[in-house]
Amino acid sequence: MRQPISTRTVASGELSSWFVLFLALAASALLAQNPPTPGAVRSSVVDALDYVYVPPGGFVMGCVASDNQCQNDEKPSHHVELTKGFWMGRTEVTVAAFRKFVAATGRRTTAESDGWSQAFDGKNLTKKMAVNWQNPGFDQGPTHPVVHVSWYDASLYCAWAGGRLPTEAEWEYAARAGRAATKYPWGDASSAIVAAGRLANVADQSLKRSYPNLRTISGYEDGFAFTAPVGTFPPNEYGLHDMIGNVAEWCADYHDEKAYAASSPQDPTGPAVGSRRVIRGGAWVDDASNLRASYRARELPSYHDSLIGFRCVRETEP
Amino acid sequence: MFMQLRRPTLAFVILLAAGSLIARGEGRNAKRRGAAQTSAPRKQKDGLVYVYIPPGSFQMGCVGGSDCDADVRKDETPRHTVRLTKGFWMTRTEVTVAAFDRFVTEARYKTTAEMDGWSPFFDGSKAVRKEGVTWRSPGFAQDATHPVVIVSWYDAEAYCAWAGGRLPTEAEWEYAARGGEEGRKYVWGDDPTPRVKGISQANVADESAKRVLPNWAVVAGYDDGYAYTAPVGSFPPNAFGLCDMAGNVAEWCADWYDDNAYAALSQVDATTLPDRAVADPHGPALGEQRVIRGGSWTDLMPFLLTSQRYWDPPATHMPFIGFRCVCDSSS
Repeated sequence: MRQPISTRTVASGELSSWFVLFLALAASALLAQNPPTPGAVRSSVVDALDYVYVPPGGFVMGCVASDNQCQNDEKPSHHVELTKGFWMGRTEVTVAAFRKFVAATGRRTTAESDGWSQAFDGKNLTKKMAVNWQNPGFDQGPTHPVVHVSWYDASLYCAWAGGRLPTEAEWEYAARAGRAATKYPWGDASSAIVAAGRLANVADQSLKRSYPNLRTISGYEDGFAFTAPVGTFPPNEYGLHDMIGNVAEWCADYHDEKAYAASSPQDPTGPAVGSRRVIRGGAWVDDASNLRASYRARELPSYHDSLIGFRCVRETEP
Repeated sequence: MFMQLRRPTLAFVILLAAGSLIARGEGRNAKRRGAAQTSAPRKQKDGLVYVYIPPGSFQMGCVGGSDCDADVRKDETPRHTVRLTKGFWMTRTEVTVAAFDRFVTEARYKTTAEMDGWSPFFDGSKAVRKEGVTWRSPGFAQDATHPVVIVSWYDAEAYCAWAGGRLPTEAEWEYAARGGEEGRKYVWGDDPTPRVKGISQANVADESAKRVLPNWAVVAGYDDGYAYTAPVGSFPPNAFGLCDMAGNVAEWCADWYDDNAYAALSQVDATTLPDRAVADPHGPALGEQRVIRGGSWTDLMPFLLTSQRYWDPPATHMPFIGFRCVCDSSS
């Protein structure tokens, strides 16, 4: 009695699996016809920021051979393959976008809970009461990069925006943007920026006018003492702005001094357990070593100051 | 100017005496009001019972005797008079797993430990960082009536705000723990272990804990029946009706920790107030560690003293730290 039914089931099962295979082939053919173009820009309906498509590829991560300023944690330089393309914030997350996030989620930032934040006083970062993203201690318009945000704040923002923080490897890959490996985007000396033009918001003569004793790049004028509106300076080869300078940027990974020695060659995500999270890219107070593409800063995830912001990545098109 | 303040005139002395009488009367009246309708226990949106704690004065800090001379108790001295000028409502118990679950679901909240991806876990002799340890999975069995653990100060603050309240100040916490009964070393009195007339008073490091964690130092001969956390309210309440103010889980307070906080108060504020009482202290404005009070299932007797002060950075999450909330009577 059961035999015919069973046979019919098998037959229809074969039919349907052929159909599924056909659909899969058709779908992949369609997708293959429209891979996102490197540098393609899409605006997110969630945070209203632009995201740029960064194609998959390989690069050498870590200390550049000619670089004598490398710290131990930047070594050994090693080949990393990112097997999937991703969409990365064209700019750092702005005050306006962060305000949207706070309005939508009711998030109280770590600095607001703490009641203070680390503010730059021209020499050091010192705890100052009531300093937070809404009251950063210097003038910021809505298009400036948000600061005084902890890794927790950044991480929650990116999840809200449909993404996540970039891994350290994604960040460095995006910052190098396929260029020849140099210490700085403008060459191997930080002072070369003077000849290269207004390329980044770093420790310049505008800042020196506010803090005469601060070490700055002599002869370089970027026009901004503190943070600059995002996207003021030219983008890199992938179309990303301010990867170096303006604000330093939280990455997803835990920092580990020896991470590179044990790093996975494909899509590394850093150690599973750790204390401090990686910060990349240098900021408006940095004049040299901290602006190198391989430089790895780190702080506790609850840390917040005038120099650190972030950008997000999305695995799917906004 | 300073000398004038320090040498009270006759009128000033009278004022001082009247002030302290009023302060004492305040406490008594408040206690009577405790039975009235307006100060009956109430529930907040978290479903927990909040009991009324009347305004009043108390002696805050180490109770006295040779205990207080120890270097580790310097931060509990000098003992000083604190006046809480307003009554408040405090959760009868520590915040439970069930209540925290409600918060997380409703507020779509993600805890610090969930974002960190790991939390300290007791392997029997020490705490090791373990992936995936969170309030849902603290590393030991907990049902919905147990106190929530693996929560940071930030998580606790966010919960209390969601519930319509806030974390207690350190002074509020100690006042509530003493329950209007002055001069007692522990919540249950001066008995050197948490056992009064044969009845267990608190969930601390005991023989039950030693059976599962053999290397753990415990209160010898004391067995409260729970190795890890106990359901909240398993032990007798204090005079204010609050449970587990000693033991079970240690509790986050609102204040930044400063080991010199009491000494600083007695030097500045106390000399400027007529009855030498410090009104509604809330700790330093800046700091890096938040106050933790009350001891836990991991603690020996010295950590269960009502005056005992502990601290950790606010992002810390541990299997022995939880919290309770307070609401202001105006809310």
